[in-house]
Amino acid sequence: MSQQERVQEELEALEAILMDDISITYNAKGCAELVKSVIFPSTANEVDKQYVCVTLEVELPQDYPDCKPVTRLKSPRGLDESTVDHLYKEIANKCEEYIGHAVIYELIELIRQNLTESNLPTCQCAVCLYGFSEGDSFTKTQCFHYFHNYCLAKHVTVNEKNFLEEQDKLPAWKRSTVGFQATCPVCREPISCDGTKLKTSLPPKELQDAQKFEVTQELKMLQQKMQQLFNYQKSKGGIIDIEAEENKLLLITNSEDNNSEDPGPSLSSSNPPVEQQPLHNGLQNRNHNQRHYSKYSNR
Amino acid sequence: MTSAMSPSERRLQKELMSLIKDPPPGVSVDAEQAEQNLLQWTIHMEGATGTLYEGESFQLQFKFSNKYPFDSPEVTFVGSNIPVHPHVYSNGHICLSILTDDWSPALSVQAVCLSIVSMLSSCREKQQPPDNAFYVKTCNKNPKKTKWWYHDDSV
Repeated sequence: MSQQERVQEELEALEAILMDDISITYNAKGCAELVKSVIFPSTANEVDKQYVCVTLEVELPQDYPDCKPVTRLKSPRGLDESTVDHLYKEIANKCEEYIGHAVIYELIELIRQNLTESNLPTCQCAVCLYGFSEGDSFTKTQCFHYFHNYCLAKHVTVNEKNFLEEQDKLPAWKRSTVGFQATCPVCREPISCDGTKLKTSLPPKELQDAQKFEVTQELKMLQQKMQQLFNYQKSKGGIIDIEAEENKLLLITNSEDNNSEDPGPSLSSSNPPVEQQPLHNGLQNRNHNQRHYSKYSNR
Repeated sequence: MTSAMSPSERRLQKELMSLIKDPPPGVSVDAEQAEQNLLQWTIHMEGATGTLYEGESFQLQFKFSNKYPFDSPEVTFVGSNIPVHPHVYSNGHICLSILTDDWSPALSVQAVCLSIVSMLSSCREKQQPPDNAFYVKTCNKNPKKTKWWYHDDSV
């Protein structure tokens, strides 16, 4: 069987199985060049439960199937970069394994299987930039973009208000006759949504729990203050330096008087107690150098 | 530290982090200033290489309302060097549709910066807008109050 016949046979089989779900582009010579298929997770025909999808493009070089085809994943919906990267890796392995054999159907099945396993958007809501947690109510638009209902409701409300305000400014003959049409924040496709249902949705969990993020900010401040303290301690000789340890015993008596006047950088009361520790040590270093010294030698 | 942040501040906080960690080429944010006041950022932008603005640097000011991201940010060029461009007025106001009518909450500071870099980069001739003198004299301080008429997609 010639190469072209083998390809033809594979494509005929694909068309028979996938029917309208596949499109094949032929070049001027009548050879198949490009195979395209939009792949959804298998959800037993429950289309509204398909939360993710991706378009697979397979370019067939002349020597295919004796060499690997060129594959591309286009328009991933609900999949983040790491998921797509993972898919690419699996595709590469599969292509390697199937050199010399028809691989397109295998690739489609591989991707479908992956999508079925992770049929929950791994991307973030484009409006609040937070992810989707279990229990969050979210909307998948017809254009396969994902939003927390809470965020989408706000978008639609603001847009509708703007639309009505604009209409009010126009002379009657210029006003729109079709009324307000909600659009997707990402691609501006018209979307249909149940406004009242959206508006009753609770804010997304991750957005509410975003306090975690604040802690890191606080930690940053803490870090800065610690740095200040460290520098202060260092300048006052409060940091243990193995080599300088011997001399320090002598130095301390001199700085004793300074302590009462200079309590060191003040700490605001809102800071967590962790911060007390180094300061405490620092004071100890100066006041009770003997104790500090023994503490150090115990380590 | 404030205990409760509004959703717009939370989102800005996230945007700031990603802009600090992974900024578009030639774009950098004054992180300390933005951290002090999340609702006003200064962004430094360098003219892209191979364009009329190569070697120049500009400053952009972003002001956010508490309705952000549902309400677009107020973006103007500030500082001593305002780019000479058919869509940039000499007072720093920018005629760019995504800053008003075409704003979407899915856009971001990063997206706006990219749009502005691209707008500058596609310029073939450094020229002020034809109505610059009149506009600068009569406009509101806030460019969002201007009713822009977007007609030229080429630049």
